[in-house]
Amino acid sequence: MSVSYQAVGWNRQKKIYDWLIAGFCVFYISVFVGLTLVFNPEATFETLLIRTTSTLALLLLHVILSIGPLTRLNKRFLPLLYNRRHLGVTMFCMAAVHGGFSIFQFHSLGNVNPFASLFISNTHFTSIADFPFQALGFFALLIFLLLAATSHDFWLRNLTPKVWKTLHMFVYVAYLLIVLHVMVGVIQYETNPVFILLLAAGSATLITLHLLAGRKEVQKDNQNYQLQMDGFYEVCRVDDILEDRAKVFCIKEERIAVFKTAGTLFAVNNVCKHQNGPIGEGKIVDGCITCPWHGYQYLPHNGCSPAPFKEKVSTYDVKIFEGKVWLNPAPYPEGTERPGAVIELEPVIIKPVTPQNI
Amino acid sequence: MRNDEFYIGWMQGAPATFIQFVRKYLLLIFFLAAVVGVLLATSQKKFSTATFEYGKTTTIKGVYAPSPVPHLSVKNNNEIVFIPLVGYGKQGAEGIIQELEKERGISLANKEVTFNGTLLYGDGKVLLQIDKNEAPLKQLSNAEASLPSATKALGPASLKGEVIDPKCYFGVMKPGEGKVHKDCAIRCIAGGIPPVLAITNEKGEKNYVLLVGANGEKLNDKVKDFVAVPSTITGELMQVDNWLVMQVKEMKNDMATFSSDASSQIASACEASCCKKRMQQ
Amino acid sequence: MIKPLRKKHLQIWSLWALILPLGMIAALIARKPVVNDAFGQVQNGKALPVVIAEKRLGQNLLQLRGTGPGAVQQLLWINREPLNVASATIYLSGLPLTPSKGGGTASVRGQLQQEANKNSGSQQNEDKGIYIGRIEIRGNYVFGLPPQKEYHFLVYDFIHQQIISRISFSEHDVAGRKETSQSSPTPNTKL
Repeated sequence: MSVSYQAVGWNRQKKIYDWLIAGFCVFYISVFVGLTLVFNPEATFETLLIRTTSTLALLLLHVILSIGPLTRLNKRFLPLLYNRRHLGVTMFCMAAVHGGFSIFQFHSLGNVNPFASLFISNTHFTSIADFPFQALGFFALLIFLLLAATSHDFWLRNLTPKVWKTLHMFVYVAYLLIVLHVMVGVIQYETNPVFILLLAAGSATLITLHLLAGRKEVQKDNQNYQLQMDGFYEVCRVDDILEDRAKVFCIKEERIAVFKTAGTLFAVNNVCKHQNGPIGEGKIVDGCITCPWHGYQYLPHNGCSPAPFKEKVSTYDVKIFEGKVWLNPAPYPEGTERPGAVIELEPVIIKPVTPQNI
Repeated sequence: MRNDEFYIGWMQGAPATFIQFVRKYLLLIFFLAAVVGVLLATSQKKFSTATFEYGKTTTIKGVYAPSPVPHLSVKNNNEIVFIPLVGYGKQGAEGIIQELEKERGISLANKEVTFNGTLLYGDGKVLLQIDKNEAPLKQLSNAEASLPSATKALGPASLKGEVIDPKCYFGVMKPGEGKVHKDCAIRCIAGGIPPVLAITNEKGEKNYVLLVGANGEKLNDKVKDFVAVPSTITGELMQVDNWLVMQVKEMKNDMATFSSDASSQIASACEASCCKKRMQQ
Repeated sequence: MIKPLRKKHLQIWSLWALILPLGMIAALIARKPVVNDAFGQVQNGKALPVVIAEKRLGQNLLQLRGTGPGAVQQLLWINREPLNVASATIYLSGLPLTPSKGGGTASVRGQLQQEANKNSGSQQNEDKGIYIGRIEIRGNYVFGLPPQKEYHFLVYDFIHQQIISRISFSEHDVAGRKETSQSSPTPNTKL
């Protein structure tokens, strides 16, 4: 949550994360290069470089794309999501070395410009087996470049979260292009079934995770709240909401988080202003609603970030009637203070102490 | 008491249950990396044993001839060894030969020369890369020389195989064949490196045939659709010293057909209606 | 994540759940098989029926052949491994040579490398003996031999002017085997 531009806001968690990324890459490279040299001593440096970086990038891509749905299915994966963008940039670096060196290796020192050669050498666009697979990889790399270049919060703010997120959805298009790049490229040459089996396993895992998480989310979004009174909808019981936590309800346009803190219920928009994280799955820490993704904070009574930060979310009216929580989904402008709903304590009946009831 | 641990990235440390969980995940991920690395590394096709003597030059004496492809005929005991010449990068040798001829003011054809270049060889075939930066022409004899080149006509033949570029195949790239190398092979052949048909028998043993046009002309701009794709090449086969050479009449695969027969070319070009009208007049 | 994006995610992955498997299957089905042509076999003469002696050089097999025991007339070189030297010419040396280290099952590559390194530049003037012939691509090579009690072959790279390997068949080897080889290669299609 920085006010001014910083290349990377380092902290201990990010440093540990980055060391693990580096360790993972070094580990994989050692295994792949070492074993290739043992089983294939005639391997050349150029081919090893191309294959090591491509396989590592694809492995990283699968790890990256699995983090989102895993986090939706189990909150304990959240530490992986915190610094996911560094993983993404690392993946791009590997892919860039692979793509850049491949263009040099296969297209340079010839009679045409290497980038022209990439598109005019093999023109069998109507064939599956003979499809120009390098062009697919090139466009995927362009997408990854765009994503890596805009991975900083600077772009998130300037492009607005909506535009930024739409742009970053192109990672799925890039994934499709890469799978096809492998299928009409390497798989047409390497006949060992291991290659296709690993790729199929990776894709199947991602498809399954995304469909499972997607189905769970859609079910939440489609829940109906029938009972209403003067624009308020009955959503749950007061006791259903844990102290310093929230429950999330999707009524009409968007999800709303109802927090319970210090004997009062407050309702704010569920979408964090940073990267649209689910505020309602966060916790109140030091009096502030804290987003579970990157720790952005908001005051519960007005949806404003504590000074000096400037983010704001919409607030809503909430009331309690006969132990049930009623929520009005009409939002107030972002940063509007609302009184919330005070939870009245049930009177405590003090019984005299007698020998029978000790 | 409920476990209400909450992860915040900018805090100094993570709660215990998160740490334990992530540790298990990391173990799994590293194990996965090892499995994937082992499987991929050990499943790759064997690399060829061809060699490109990068960084090392060798001097060879022989008689230069531009046909059927630029080559040196080298005498070894009672036989001639045919060593095709290639240029630097993805270029044929014609360019450098022309430059040398211009420099010396004399044609090199059928002259005894000593070239200094980089050897590439594999599976019994050898080629020489000559590069203007390596002082390629060490010696040149002005007199015409002739070596008893053994050229034997073997008759018409139709052969199945893969069109490759011999420079990459015989040492510069590994692999120098197949789909993954296709673009490079097309670029090399387009740059003047002579196309070769690599034939494989059931035992996996290979033979190689230099491809030229029906009248011995260069075929480089015609083979693009047939590179790195199983193709059938038909033509007149010859044995030129230790290389097979085919004067190609037809090339065919499931995507394209090329025929050197002139009328066939006109017929195929005349599929457009405007050409059909012209034929009818 | 906002509601429209959640919907988009599910739509995209539902579509990918169809396209990815279809794409993989289509690419697998379309894969072109390796096309073989029997023309590839090298054959430069008919091998005589009797294998008198046999030695290995890596994956390659060297057989002394004749019409009867002890009557060597041919060298049959069954070249199974791709050559990884610039040239491989065979000489029949008149003198006994140091037995080749690679006479067993050492890989051709390792042996050729060792011998080439050891002999680099030092054998240019050696009288190599009678030129027998040259090995190139994989296949069977038949060379005629003069009758001798023992045979000492030199494999020589004339381009680098280096001895690559030496293989010797002693008097005992030459006098040895009497049976006809079961694995004698049959002459293949003509070039």
